[in-house]
Amino acid sequence: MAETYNASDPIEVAPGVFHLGVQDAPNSFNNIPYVIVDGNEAALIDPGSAKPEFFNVVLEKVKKALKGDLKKIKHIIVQHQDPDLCAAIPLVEVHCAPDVTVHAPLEAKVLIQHYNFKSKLHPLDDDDTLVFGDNRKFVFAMTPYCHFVGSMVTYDTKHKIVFSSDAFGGFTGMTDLYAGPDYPLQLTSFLGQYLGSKRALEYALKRLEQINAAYGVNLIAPQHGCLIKKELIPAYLEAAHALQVGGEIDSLAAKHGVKLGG
Amino acid sequence: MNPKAIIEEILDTAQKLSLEKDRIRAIFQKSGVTLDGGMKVSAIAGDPMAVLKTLMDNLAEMAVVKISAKQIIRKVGINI
Repeated sequence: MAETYNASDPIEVAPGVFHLGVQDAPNSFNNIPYVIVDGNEAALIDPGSAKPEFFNVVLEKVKKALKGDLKKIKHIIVQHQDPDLCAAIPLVEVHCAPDVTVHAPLEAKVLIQHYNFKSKLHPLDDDDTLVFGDNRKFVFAMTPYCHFVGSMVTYDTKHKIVFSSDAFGGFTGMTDLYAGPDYPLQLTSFLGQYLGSKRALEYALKRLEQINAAYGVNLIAPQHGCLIKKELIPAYLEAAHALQVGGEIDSLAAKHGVKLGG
Repeated sequence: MNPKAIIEEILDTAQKLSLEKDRIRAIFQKSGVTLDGGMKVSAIAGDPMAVLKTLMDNLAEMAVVKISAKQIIRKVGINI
């Protein structure tokens, strides 16, 4: 399997699970949709940006991953409401199955409607499941306030992959597929600033640890940054537990003389 | 941590986040930080704290690097 990705080819990171990453070198903020194929159906996770330099790459990679048959895509899953993962919905839906459904956390639904797509929007709650293809099962675990109230991660029970969205994401403009020596810094630089609540982070981490203990996790697949292999997951969990978040509030409070309790 | 050490940490972090070494070099240069051929700090023109403040302003051109730099200076108790 390739250790780096490029602008033209999807990378199969597990059987039927394709990384569709788009390098964003100028902004050091790569964007990674995934498509998962099972039997005659497929699910697209966090389809990405509407900017042509992003969307055109994703579309070409999806076509290759699905051997041209984009009508296999019956499900589009968006794990929170941000434009870097949702803006492509109206662009990609026209290529998908006519009855494609967009699945999103309940609290994100009221915002996601404004991307103005036509497909049915199905709200998700904690522990909801999606079964598609040949009995492929996804479990959705809500991770509230990490970094939005309507945020979630998606657990693929077949290959034991957590599609973690922004959780375990990192700032990088490189094309490394897997987390390497610089990834702890890339991860903590991103999460340290984009998460506001230590309590929210701890809930998400402990929930992930529960899933790992109960069912196992072979791979963490974030929407930015690098994939984290099974053997490195404990080290990244430890790094994330140690992370200080919400510091921007303290900086501004000090600047403006605002006194905060707690 | 002294301002020069902070500037060096920001430079090291920038190179771990971004492939765009020429852009990094140009931002540091116009902020008063000269880098050598190995992308290490070779000279700082003037008061290092003033240079650090200018660097923080100029890093707005590379948002992700500035976001990380804000965390670095916050960690050492500086509020620019």
